[in-house]
This record gives sequence, structure tokens and C-alpha cells, in this order.
Amino acid sequence: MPTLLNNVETYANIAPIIQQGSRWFASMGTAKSPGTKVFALAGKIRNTGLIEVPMGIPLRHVIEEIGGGTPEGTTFKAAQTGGPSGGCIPAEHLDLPVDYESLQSVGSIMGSGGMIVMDSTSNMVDVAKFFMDFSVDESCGKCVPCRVGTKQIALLLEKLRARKATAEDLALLEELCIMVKETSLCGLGQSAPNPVLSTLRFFKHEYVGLLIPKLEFEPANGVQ
Amino acid sequence: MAVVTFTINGEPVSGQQEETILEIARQHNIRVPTLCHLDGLSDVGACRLCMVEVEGSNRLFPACSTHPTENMVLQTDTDRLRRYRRTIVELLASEGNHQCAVCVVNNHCELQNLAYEVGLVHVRVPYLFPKKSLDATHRDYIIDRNRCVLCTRCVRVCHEVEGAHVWDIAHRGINCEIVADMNQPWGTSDSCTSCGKCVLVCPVGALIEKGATVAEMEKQRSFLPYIMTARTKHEWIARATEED
Repeated sequence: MPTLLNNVETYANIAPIIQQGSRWFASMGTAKSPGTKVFALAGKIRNTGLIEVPMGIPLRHVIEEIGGGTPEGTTFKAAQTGGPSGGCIPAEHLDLPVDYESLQSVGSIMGSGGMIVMDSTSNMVDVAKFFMDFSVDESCGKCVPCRVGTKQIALLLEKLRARKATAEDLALLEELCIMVKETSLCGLGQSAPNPVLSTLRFFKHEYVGLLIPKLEFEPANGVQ
Repeated sequence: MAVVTFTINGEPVSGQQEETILEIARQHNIRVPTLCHLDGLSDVGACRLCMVEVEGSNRLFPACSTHPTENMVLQTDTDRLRRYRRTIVELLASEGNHQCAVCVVNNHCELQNLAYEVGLVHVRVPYLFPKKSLDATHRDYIIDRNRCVLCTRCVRVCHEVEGAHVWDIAHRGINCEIVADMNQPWGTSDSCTSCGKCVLVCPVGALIEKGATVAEMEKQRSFLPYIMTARTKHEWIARATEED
């Protein structure tokens, strides 16, 4: 039985392309990422739901115009694109054009087309933990780095959230993430550490802020 | 059959295109650590210990399931690879209940040997201490899933060599387990022929013979290539046990 397995978005694109021609479709978007893209806009934003935008549209337009901005009294912090395998785009890149190449340049991906908005009340370590738990659940268990590595990364994130982690734990977290990314058998394991790596890249201070404070000793009785 | 020439660690080597990098490396006495690989079985590339670096690529390639190309430049023992291998063994050590001192395969264990080889002096991540089941319902053998490293050698030897296909993997991710006959007690299995191949290929103390006590169980793995090639090589007299 001939079978065609594709994303619904792909099928939805086909009819208008047949009706109006490929040139019409390619006239939208950028030179390298032509056409349109559907995003599932969610998270800390006023208007959530499915949106279709031309490729290369500035992220600011999606967040502020289409999404209506973050809730009253909060500011935009980051947008997570590409689902659990993707990365976070921080506020300083709000004018980034949303296309394949630009997303990659800031360490994220288009991926599943999810776009989760975080505002100033969101904690990025919690975000990373949420996505890592997803990868722990979804790991098939065939290869060691993904099966055990994702689990240990999730435990380290939990240790951080419980404020029991040391600077060594944070270094180990980063080391494990790179190792799982480079040695896993398939795309799931290879991209599972992305949410941690990208939040570490842009929001390292949030991780550092959760560490056990370094004990500082003062010499007793003026002993030098 | 095309011959390919390439270099491993700066040393020129040659082999057949159909051969894997691991096979060719071993023919040239270049040691590449492995766990899930076993001569005589198909390769699954699951343990990731045999990863090698290929010049011109950022990706790492598993030597057991990668074929060489002409003029390929390979490294098998860089700082990065050594670090990753140690982390893999570290993760395996944290995953199961590996208490060497009270294990039947102490001193005859591939995981233990790997820990020595990669220089695993301590485990930085928490031990997971799984509470997995031990099945002693079989007349001759025991499976202790707490010591299993999920290399799937037992699954493959039973399916590919014995042809019985008793073993499978149940669940997924960190909850994976080796199960007999759709998760039935091993002793009630209709498909098991009690041949013991799974016990002999198990790299650790997960599949063991009954009656062995601490450090007593030594496994012989050279029987497998012998079984696979004896007929073509006309080796009619059983000599698998002599070789080990």
C-alpha cells in the first residue's frame, strides 16, 4: 500500500502552491528560506494559537504585533523555538528575522514550529528542566548517552532547582550536555541537551544564582 | 571486493570496503574499546564506546558500524574520545547496581575491565540504584536485571545464532529491561532451549549460571565465531572451549 507520511503543515502547503504556483509561494519569505511558516504561539503571551507568517519576519513582530506582547506588568525575556530539541532566543535578539539560517545562528532551530514565550516571571532553569524531562521520557533507551545521560542531566537540573548544586555540578552539567549531544545515536539524543545549552549560553546567571553560596571563612581572633 | 587504504592514528592501514572500521583496526592491532559489539553478532552501535574522529568532520562515528572510505583520516584515541569513553562507563556504572565485590563475575567482567581501561576512579553523578527484578525461575540460569548494561548481546545471540528469540527489550529509556517471552518468567518460557548462549555472551553478571558464587563465573565468548564459521572451515571437533 503506497503510504505518504508528512507533517500536516506540508500537506496544507501543497494545495495553494498547486493553485497559485511555486513562484507565488517562493515570492514570500527570504532567499534561503522561501515561503511561509506556521508557528504554535504559546506561553506568556496575550494571543496564543496557530499563526502563519512569511519567513524572515522579525521575531519582534510575532511577539508584539501578532501575540500582543507579554501579560500586563511583565517584559519579554525569551522565545523558545523548535520544541524540546530547540533553543531559546533572548530579548537582545528580538529583531532577529525568523528563518532557518538566523535561528541556527543563535543556537536554536525551526524544528516542530513551536514558539513558547517566556516573560520576566519565567525561570530558565525550570524551562530547561521541563524540556529535559520530556527527553528522558522520549528516549528509547538504545544508546547509553541518551538513556542515562538525559536522566543524569535532569537530576542535575533538579539538584540546581533544590539549591543543592555546587559550581562543580554546573561544570558537570555542561560537560554531560556536550557529551550527550556529540555521542548519541540518533537525532533525539543529539538535540536533547539543546534547551540546557542554549539557556546556559544566554542565561547562565540564572544557573549561577541557584548554586550553594561559597562559604567564606574569616580568620578567627585575627589569626593571619 | 574493493580494497580501501586509509590511516588510523597516523598509521597507514588497508581493508575491504565491506569491513567495518573496527574490524580493520583490530586486524592492525589498534585497540578500540567496545561493549555491545561481539564477533559473530550483528552490530547495533548502542554503547557508543567505539566512537572515532574523522578528519574534516565534527561528527563522531561508531567504528563498529561505519565503513571506511579511501584516504579517510581517523583518530581513535584523542583526549576528547578518552573523556567521552570515561563518561559513558561512568554513566553505565551509575545506572545499574554494580557492586563488584559481591558479583559472580568479579575479575571476569567486561564493564569492570572497561572501568580500568578508561581510568574511571570515581563516579561524579548520583547512583540510580534501580529496583529491578531478578528472575531465578530457569533451572540452570539467573537473570539479574540490576546488573544489565542493555548491550542486547543476549537478544541478538538468541535471535541470530540460536534462532529461538526468547529475549526482547521491554519499556523504554531509563526503564528498559531485558524480558523473556513477552515478559514471562524465564523458567516458563516455551521458546527457550536452555542452550546458555545468552549467559556466555553477557559482558557482565546479569546473566549467570546457577551455583556460581562471588568471582567464580568466567565466561567463554570465543565459541561464537567458531559456531558461525565451523562448517565452512570444516572444524568438526568442538574446540571452542580450548581457545578462551
